[in-house]
Amino acid sequence: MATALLDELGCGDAVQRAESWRYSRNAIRALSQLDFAPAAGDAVFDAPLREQFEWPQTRGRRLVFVNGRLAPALSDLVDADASVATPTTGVCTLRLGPTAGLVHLVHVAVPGATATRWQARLEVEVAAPRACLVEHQVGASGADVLGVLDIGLALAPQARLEWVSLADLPATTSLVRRATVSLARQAQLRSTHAVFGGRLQRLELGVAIRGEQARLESRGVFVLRGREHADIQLDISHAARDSACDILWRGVADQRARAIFHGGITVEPGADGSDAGLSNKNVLLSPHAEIDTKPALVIHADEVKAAHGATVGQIDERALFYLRSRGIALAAARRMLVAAFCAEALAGIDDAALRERIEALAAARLPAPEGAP
Amino acid sequence: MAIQPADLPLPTPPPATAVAGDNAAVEAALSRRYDAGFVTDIESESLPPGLDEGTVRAISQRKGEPEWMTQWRLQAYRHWLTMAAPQWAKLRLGPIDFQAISYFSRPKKQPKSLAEVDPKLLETYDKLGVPLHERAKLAGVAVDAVFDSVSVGTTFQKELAAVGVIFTSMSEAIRSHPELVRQYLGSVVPQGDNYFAALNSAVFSDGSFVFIPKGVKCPMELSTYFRINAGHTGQFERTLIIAEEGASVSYLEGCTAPMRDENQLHAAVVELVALDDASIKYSTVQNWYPGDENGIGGIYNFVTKRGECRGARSRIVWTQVETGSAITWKYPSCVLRGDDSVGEFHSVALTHHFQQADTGTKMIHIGRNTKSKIVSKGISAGHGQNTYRGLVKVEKGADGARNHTQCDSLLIGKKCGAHTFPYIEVKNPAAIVEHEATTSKISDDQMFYCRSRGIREEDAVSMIVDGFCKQVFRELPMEFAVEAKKLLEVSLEGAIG
Repeated sequence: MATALLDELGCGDAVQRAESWRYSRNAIRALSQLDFAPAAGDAVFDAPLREQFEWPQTRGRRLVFVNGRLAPALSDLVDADASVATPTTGVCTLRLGPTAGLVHLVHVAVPGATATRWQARLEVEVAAPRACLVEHQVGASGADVLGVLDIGLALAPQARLEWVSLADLPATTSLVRRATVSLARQAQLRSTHAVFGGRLQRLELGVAIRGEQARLESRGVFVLRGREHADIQLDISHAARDSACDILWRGVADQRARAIFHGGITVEPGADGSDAGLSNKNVLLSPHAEIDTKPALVIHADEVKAAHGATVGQIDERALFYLRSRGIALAAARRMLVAAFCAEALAGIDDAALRERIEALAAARLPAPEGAP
Repeated sequence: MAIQPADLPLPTPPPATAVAGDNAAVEAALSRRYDAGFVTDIESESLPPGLDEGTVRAISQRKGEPEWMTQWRLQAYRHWLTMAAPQWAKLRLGPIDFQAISYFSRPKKQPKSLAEVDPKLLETYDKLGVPLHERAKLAGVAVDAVFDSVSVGTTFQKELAAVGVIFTSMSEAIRSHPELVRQYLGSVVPQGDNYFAALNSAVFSDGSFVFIPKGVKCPMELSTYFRINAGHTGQFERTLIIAEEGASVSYLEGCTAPMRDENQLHAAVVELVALDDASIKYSTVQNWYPGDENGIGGIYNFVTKRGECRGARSRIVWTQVETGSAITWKYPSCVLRGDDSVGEFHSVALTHHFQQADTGTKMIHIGRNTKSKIVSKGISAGHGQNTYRGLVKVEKGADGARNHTQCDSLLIGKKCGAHTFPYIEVKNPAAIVEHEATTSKISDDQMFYCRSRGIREEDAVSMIVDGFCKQVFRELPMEFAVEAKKLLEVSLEGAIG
């Protein structure tokens, strides 16, 4: 069953899957028990869901997809130097022009009467010297929804993109995202992923650094509770000289949540001068939660600086003691420390309003202080 | 030809530019032969190549084993038939023809005591620097010498027996201490644990058996020296070490083989059991024939090593220096079942020419307040591919578990590779697990500094590498540390470009 579903979703062959899905096998098996019907692209939804993404600051710069299909009535790109090619082939192409500025790309998963499924493909071409793409995934509680989104992102030489990705999903929504990114010469990508909630969230981020002196900065945080399951798979490949990647991810798992982080960095032969670094720190808040982390380095060149570090632990007792000695209650102190722990991964977001919004969403998912409503 | 090296890269002559500095000295070092690569001309009796139930029965019969042992082997063999060779390692490995291997080979003359051992054999061990006779007294190390499929002699048995320590070959242990063997054999590495462990369980020929009774600190270091001599054979030894409550032992293992153009398989299983407050230190200097500079020949070293800290406050320390073998594929592991038990793994793995290694460890934290430490140093030179693969698993009940892993790789040259695959699985919120890894080369600054102090290039390299490995070498017993350092120097000479 699970195999059939993975086949349908196009998740590689059995050998690849044995390794890359090893920790999510049970989650995908459980999903495959459901009988998915195709999700409706014209599904209507109510105001609370709409409020999640109708940010005043992105009016005129917003593109909305409902269950994978572009919703023109909700989209408006009037203020952005961006164009979108309508998807007749099923592939939607978004071009960010030289003065694109910020573009808010929203995917809404709207549940049907029974379990539903959608699949979409989005190509993003960036020629802008400076652009910001806010990819936003939202959903409503109800019957199960499984979305599969392939994202192709190509950065032209010297293009610079800030990619902020926020997936804030209810416990009945599953989302598999496969992002394939290529960086040309001197291109710079700074991505920040916030992964919150979801029955099964799988994020595959494959970045090929093809151009010399290109640079990737990947930041990310996942905050999970209940029975939520997130599986982050980063695969960075340095195929050009003097390129750099700097990866910093933070994770929090509470209650019965399960989080998986794989951070692979490959330095291809000849990619001398590569400078690669990865840090993944995680906090387990409950005896029933589990975090599995797997940083990996594959190095085929010698003029290389490569390092990675990963930890799984709990809140620093000394910091906790310090706060308590200042009269802060235990639960509040805990919450404060976990929020600060997550904030480290979000600090790279330039837009303060956006950063604060995401920080607030992360904080809302942390265990509430005792006595709080 | 037991193994077809189908995937091995085509031989390429070493590039002229790879040798800098004092060319003549470096080239001389490059052409240095593998010291232990000679063949002892001794009459041996072997089973014909091939593997079926008959082979398993024949091995058991030749060793005069009881029926339960034969059945145990057959059970393993039948299980092995249902298994497929694992594919997940980062190794380029041709298919292995298990029917082309002779599973049993031993010198024809069977000595009753050390005094009767064929002088040629003694000479072999002498050449390898293994103390098997009078010299042994001076060295103060008890040695079990395994030659192809059988143990040819174990020293100091009397002295050890006086304090209750049993140190003998596995075949002897099955005869004289069947109750202990039955109790512990396969209790850490079950017959069907993995493909090569299942094969070993079916056809294992000999190995060492160590039993340290309650409260005894083993008065001397124990050592086994493995030698593959015959061609077209594999070596499948099985080692079992048991330390009862409060006992402690330090065990050393060394290995060599002749230089041959064929790849020979060495698939061993090592099981360690430490009860309450017991401590086992297991050190390996692995110097199997690595193949030549074109990647022809060499030993395939596919070994399952696992220790179980069964008792509270027990401790198992693995130290390995892996310089030999065409392919090394092993993960000496610790199952930390007892509360407050400790597991350590210290490793230096070097791959030069076309050698490949996929090695590391597993630390399974089950008991409360269990601690583990991993220090792994990988050195890649030439076309060598060196992979660290490790698992740190903290189970639900392992409150207060603590792990620190440090994993450093050193690259020497443009064509080699260094890879790191740590798996960290944590199910307990009171555990702390940390992993760090770095990859670097010998920097120009370091070289310049040494050269400016008048140190020759190759000496500087060996000095820097020695410093890189120091953390591991200091865990080795002294004689082994000296040998390991020497081995590393020999293996690395000519690597700097």
